[in-house]
Amino acid sequence: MAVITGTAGAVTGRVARRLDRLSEKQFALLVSIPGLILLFLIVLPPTLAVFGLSTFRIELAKDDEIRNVGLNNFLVRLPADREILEAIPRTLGFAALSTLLTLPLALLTALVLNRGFRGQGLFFMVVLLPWAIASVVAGVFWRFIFDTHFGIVNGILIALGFINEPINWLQNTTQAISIAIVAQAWRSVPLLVVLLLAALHTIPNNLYRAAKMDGATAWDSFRNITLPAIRPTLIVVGVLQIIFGLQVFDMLYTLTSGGPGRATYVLIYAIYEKAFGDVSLGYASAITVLLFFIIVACSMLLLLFQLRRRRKLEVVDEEETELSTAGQGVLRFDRKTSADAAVAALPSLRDVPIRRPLIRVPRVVSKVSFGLLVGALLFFFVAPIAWMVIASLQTDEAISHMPPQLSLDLWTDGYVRLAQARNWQGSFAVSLMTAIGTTFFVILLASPAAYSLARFKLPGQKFILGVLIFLQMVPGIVMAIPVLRIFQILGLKDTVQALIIVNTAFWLPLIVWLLRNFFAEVPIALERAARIDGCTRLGTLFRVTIPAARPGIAAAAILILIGTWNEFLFAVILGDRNAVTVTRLITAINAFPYRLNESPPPNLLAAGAILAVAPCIVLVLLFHRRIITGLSEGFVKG
Amino acid sequence: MTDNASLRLDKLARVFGKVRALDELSLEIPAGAFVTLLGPSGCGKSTTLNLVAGLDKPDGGRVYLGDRDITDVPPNERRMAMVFQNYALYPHMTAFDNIAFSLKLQRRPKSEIQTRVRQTAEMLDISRLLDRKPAQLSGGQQQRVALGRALVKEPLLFLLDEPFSNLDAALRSRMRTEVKHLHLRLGTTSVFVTHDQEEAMTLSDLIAVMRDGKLIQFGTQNEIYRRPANTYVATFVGKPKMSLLEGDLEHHDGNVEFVGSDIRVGLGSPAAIGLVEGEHRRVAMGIRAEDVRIRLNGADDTPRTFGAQVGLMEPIGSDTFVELAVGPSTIVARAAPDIDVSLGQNVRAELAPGRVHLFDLESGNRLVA
Repeated sequence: MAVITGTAGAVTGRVARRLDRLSEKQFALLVSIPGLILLFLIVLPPTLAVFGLSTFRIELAKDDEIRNVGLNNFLVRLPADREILEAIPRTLGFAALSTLLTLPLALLTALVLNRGFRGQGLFFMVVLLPWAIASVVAGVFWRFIFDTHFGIVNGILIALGFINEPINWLQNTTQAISIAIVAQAWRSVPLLVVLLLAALHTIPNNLYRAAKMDGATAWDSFRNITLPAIRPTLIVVGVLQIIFGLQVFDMLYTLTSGGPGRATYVLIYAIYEKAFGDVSLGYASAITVLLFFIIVACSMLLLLFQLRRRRKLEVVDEEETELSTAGQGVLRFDRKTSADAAVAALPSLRDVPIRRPLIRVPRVVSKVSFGLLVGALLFFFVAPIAWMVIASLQTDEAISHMPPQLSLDLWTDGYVRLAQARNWQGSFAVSLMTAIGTTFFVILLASPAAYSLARFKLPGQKFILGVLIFLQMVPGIVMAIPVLRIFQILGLKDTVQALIIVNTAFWLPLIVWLLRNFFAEVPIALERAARIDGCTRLGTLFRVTIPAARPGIAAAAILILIGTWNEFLFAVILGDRNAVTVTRLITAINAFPYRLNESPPPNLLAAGAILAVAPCIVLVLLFHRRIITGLSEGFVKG
Repeated sequence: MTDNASLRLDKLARVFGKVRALDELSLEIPAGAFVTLLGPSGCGKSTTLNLVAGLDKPDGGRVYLGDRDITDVPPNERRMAMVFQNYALYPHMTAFDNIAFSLKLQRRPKSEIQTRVRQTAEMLDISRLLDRKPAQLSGGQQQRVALGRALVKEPLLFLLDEPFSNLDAALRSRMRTEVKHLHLRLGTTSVFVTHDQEEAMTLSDLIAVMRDGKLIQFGTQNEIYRRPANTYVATFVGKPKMSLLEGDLEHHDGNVEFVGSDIRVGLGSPAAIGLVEGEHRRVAMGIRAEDVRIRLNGADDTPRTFGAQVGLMEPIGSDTFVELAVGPSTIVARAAPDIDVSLGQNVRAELAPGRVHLFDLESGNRLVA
């Protein structure tokens, strides 16, 4: 290090000059080291530790004895555990069914958006809203809507005379599972729409014009142009959705609590209960490993598919060079062909009557039905949020009445009570600090690493990228158990610092990946120009590259902010008394009925749920364009 | 077989928001002609093509194919074929399927489709490529498949929407020749859209120069080049650009003289230069490079001679274009490739008799017949 003698400016100048003397490789290493070290020291070990833990017997609720039992957890305990054995097909089924609903719904929404209509910007923003709502709160929303005593669904059905007695929606297995699937679709469609829309936008409009000239109907165009073009994205998105479906936990926690009975008791739920209820950390780790392999198997399918496509493209490249040299002469079109006579014998196509569609749908009809479709989608995405907002401003009696008796006299007591409550004030502070802290550290650590990965050939680049992909496949729960142990040992459990560290570790791989794509898009010529104009390496980075990639960095920051604010699993594991996040706190009101065997106070619950998601909703309203680019860049290109 | 069709546009109008993309455009295209719509981007030429194809609906005016009003006919019933910029081949279909797509949608019998596609492919020399997908074809091959897709329909009208604009220079000139040969053989009425004046000049029977949604001039390439209707056409068509000088017209003894700053040249009698009657004083005089000759070796002056200073020179092999500074203006002259002048040298130059163009300085309209 340089001896600090002059002013701060002189020192940075010297450091900058010193950096300029490094070789490109040295500079790349230096820049990327902090992020990569963290990646390998903080993210990787807990992920790997779960495999080790899975071979131990740790039953802290019963005794302090910890011993290695080899594969006993997998070979003896798991096969005998009926609860888990039944949870496996249940988890797979939930993932499959929710994907089957989400994918067509997302495709439909994306197609509607791709068509373009007045107010589509607004529509897209509204469609994005469910994505910004924490899963755990989304569970609260849907439970609220389907509540037996004050649910709006019962209220409407009674008002319309379809039923006389309120239905216990969530107490019936089929109904509860169906509602969970719909709720899961509601929350996941937005992301899929963004990804599918990005794919739809890559289709050149000229293809559709050409098809129209060729006489293709809208359906012909969809089948022959749209569908083949987005098929790869559809598959990627489908697999993504299955993987998300396998990891659903937060939402079920508030929506059904795994019930009725064990009807929605999925693997993550089991892991959570075993690890943090029974404190059987070894066995819980074993189930985690099982889930991990199921997810990896799904991801492998995806990878396999992408590899096959890439190989096909490579073959094409070879042929291109071989072909482009052939047939360079100018054609004069005067050659006689063997088919001339046969074609001459056919009637001229100019005289053949043109096939017309049997029915031509009048413009008015198609316009009206399109409008209805837009309206229906809008209703699906926005109605649950709108109802929660309304309910948060009505008295308990007004909401509980069947049908609800709404008044224009807004009831703000719920908000006032929550705003004055100590625990809510505290939780807001905790959530805010965690979100901002995490965002700050992730961006700070990920940017240089992402920059190096985008620009330089680092030693072991392929290995690093492989680890990044691997870590993105790892569900959060995998990290949770070892992390809990580590923080217990360090004495950091139940602190905001612990939440920031864990969340940072969780986000780092994805954000490095995402920012790498953004940095790769900054033209290298820009940096060369800056260097020639007299910028140092550091100067180039801060004055040229980072400003040019700023939209991407901002998008990433917003994604982290929202994601961390909405995070539940780490919050519920690590928080206890001091570091209780808002997502954690909302479950306390929601859990009311199970404690006292009655419904929670609806107005308070609605107000709490709205408060818990308000910051994210505001972010979406302000930055939806940024978010859309961030999401589509991060996933489509990766 | 139905004969080639003529195309008539009658006061076509199209408005996008507040922008008049097309302002009552009328145009008559004779049967069998190869017509180019030429203009910079945003002049309305692509809008026109879309309206002709039926891909867009006009806000006013009618489109006639032959005698038939097709304004409200959907695109697939217009019996037209279109070749697009970037080819617009269906990426997931083979070359065969690309060419056959329209026939399949028309539910033509399988054997007929086979025969027609085979003939088209042989004519275009792409028979051995029919199993390939577009990504496996070179640019020129894709272009031919795109042509095949249009040809196989036996259309009444060919529409070409800047089909060469993304090709490299060599391929572009080859494709230009091929399209010309193709038109010679088939004789199908064709409407070609481009912003490239060179493409328009080499390909077309007739050129329609457009600007701001209006037709500026419609005529053969010779008319457009020799008698541009205004300064816009004059400077848009031709390379190098026509030189324009501002100045006054003075009448002396039945002769007309052009007087600009640092230049005074006699143009001959009003009749000789075809000056339309009337008192014109402020004008823009246009001269093409080939109508200016640099005179060396002190040849005698004529009334059309003027003094100038040599500026930059641009040798292109067959000729050398020399910039001549005349006061604040510049005149480009075509000279032999071995001309012996150097930067800053004072020279005398002469205008070819009867070849100057005179435009009204304010309206830019042509003043000479």
